[in-house]
Amino acid sequence: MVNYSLKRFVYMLITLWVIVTLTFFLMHMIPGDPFTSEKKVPEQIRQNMLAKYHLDKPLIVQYGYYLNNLIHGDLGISLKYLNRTVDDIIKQSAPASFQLGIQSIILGVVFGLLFGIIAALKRGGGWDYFSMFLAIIGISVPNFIIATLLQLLLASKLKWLPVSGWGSFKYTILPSIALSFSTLSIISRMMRTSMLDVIGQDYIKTAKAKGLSQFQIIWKHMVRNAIMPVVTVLGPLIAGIVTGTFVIEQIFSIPGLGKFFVQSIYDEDYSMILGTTIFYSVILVVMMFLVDIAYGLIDPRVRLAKGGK
Amino acid sequence: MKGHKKIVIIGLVLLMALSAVLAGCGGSASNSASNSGNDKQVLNLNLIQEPPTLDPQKATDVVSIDILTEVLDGLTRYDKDGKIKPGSGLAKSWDISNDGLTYTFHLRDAKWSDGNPITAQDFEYAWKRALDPNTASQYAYQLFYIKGAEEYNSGKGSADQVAVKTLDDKTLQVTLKAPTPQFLGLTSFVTYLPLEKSIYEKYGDKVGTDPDKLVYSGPFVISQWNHEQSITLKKNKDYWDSSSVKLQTVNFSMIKDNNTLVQNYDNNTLDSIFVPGDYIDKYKNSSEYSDKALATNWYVQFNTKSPVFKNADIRKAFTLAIDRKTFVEQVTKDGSIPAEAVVPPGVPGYNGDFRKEAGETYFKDNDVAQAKELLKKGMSELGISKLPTITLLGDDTDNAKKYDQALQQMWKQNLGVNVQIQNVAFKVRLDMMDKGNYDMVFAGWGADYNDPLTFLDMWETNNGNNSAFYSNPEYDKLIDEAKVNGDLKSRNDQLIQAEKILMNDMPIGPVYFQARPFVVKPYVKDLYFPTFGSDWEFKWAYIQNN
Repeated sequence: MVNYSLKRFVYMLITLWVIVTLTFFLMHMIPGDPFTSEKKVPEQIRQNMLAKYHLDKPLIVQYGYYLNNLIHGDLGISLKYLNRTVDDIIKQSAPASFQLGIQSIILGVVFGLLFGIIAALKRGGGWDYFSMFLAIIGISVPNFIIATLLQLLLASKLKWLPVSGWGSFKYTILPSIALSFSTLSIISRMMRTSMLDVIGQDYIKTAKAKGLSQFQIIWKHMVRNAIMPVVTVLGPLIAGIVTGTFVIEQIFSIPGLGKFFVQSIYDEDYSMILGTTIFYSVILVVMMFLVDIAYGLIDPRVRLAKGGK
Repeated sequence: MKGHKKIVIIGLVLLMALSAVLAGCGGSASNSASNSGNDKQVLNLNLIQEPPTLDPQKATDVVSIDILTEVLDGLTRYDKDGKIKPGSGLAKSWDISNDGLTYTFHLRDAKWSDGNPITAQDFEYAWKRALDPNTASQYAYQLFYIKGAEEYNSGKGSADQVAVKTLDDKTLQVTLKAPTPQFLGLTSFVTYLPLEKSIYEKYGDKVGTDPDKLVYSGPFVISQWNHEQSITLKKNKDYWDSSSVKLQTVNFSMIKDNNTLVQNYDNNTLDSIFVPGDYIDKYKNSSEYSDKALATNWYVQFNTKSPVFKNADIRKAFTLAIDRKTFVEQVTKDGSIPAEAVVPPGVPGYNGDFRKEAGETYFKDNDVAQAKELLKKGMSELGISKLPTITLLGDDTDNAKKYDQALQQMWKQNLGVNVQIQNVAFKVRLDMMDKGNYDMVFAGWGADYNDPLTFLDMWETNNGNNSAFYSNPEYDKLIDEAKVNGDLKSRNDQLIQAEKILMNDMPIGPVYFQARPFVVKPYVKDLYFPTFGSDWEFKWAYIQNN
């Protein structure tokens, strides 16, 4: 297990290095630079600015600077929010995105699993159709529409919740719900399908024959076997959601990280582009690693196979 | 057994979530009730984004300017009516030498928010800091009117050679390179706003990143700054004119989504907003609706080096074929007015409005017959019978796309020309313009200062902003002379002459002068909307109890 983890860690570093390098050179191919502005400044002023942020050096030298700083845990200074470091901005913005992401994942996973399981058990019944209906809405209606509708109904008309903003828990409710819809529908559809697979297996008949209670059959034999595919998608899903979502954060005016992924590209804020990319990649790679470990915990066969190597 | 535990945990989480939802509902109801009462002097506004920096010498964008001009005073400050008057800022008076080059400012007794006196040294230090090449200030050139400033900034001179002198604690003397009528107004601009010398020395590059890394001299102080979320201003008790300031608190949110913005206004969480394009019809007939003219012009800029638009007659044909009246009434719908000249109305001339002194229009709007004739003429001058593919470059925002398509439609209808549209990101567009990779582009220009020169000197032959690559020696000569002319009457005549030449050569085809629609709740009084610079002026604003 230690050996395996170590190997994975090295792969992780290589993956990150490739991502950083690709992003670095690709973003420098975008026409213009961070200081391109509508009002032209005298050439000397431009040179002063480029020099201050090392942008006057050859690209490969800049790349060297960047990697060196990165190894020392320094993501550099934002070229749009002058004087603020990318580390600071991520540190300040990530918690909001993270809280929102976790809440919506919990909502989505809990209800997704619940609906999926019930739909499979009551196949063809009212519940099945209800959960299928919900899943179709979740997948086909973009979350900004759901968000706007929730906002209009629960905040503007009924005034139960604030329209937008961030602060106490009540501000997180609408965005969490809006954001959880797509997770909910993906998970409930997947869970239903794999549950149906499992239900037909012989060992379920055996379990029934042994006289196990309905609950034990469902929980121990069905769910545990059916949940593997769900766990697989959960990794990238969580990574994508907890690092912030541009649209939902914008609609509810949440001070999260989502907008930096998009805006930094328009601003050609080089250090911010790299910073957000690295942040996302790290979370993604770590999530995949956790998913691998989770396999082992859920399914002993995976553990054995690894041990056997 | 393990399985049961998990079920219990999941159940608990669900229960917690549910109870939190219920608790949240109760909380919000009471909160919104307390917000709706406007018996306090609190104003709620929205910023379109987080201010990129509150370091006055580095700020360049309107949001930073919005905040900085309310928390800092310059030597001068624009009054309610948009005029500079002696004593409206930190200088109680000034003397100008007869040649118009030397300004001597006499500072009033005023204090920084930390209790220390505001001195001439603070100004001298701030201005030289802006010019210091190591500060790398983008707007350093705003100070290039001062003798020795450009030399210091480009490393050809020293700080001591910059002609800003502290005569004593309360007297500052500045010598300019050339007579500059807009100089007094410029001293209210952010790059000229000082902080206390000791603050600069203490925080260096970190100045203005947080409220405690600033010191205040204006009507308000920043009491809280939650990055990307909100800024709260409180009345500055130490402000020299604090008796004029009635507001106790100004709250800024940073909402970017248009629908959310509008809902917050309708819910009374915001007291005034700029109305987004799609919502103009919703408010247009409301008494809360109004618009402010911006000192900004929008025009089709032709690449005078392109194979087609090197011909002036074709440039004119494309300009005349635009139906501006329809454009502002049906497309922008925001109160903008048709432009048949370059300098927007409201910009001062010699004795009043420059636009009135120079004449309102240089050509007729939607002059299809003339346009067709000019196109024919131009094509025969070029010796072509068919136009090559012409592309209109524009931004990739929703509004820009809509505007570009309207223009495309008018050219097709009025000239029978099929124009392609290329929408790209803002910085990409600027880069393409600089490199001359375009035929024509829909672009705008906002005033840097309140003078016609800000709209005219950009079209000089070697000006960095002249991406039309327009060149006319006669034009250059007029602008160069106007720049150093101390006789304001003849200076004004030169600028009028220059505008006339520009409209005759037509490297740009004016389309409209921009207005910005806004709504204000009826209980908000004396909130002003300046034509250039910041979005609002709320030094004198107050909330009327109802």
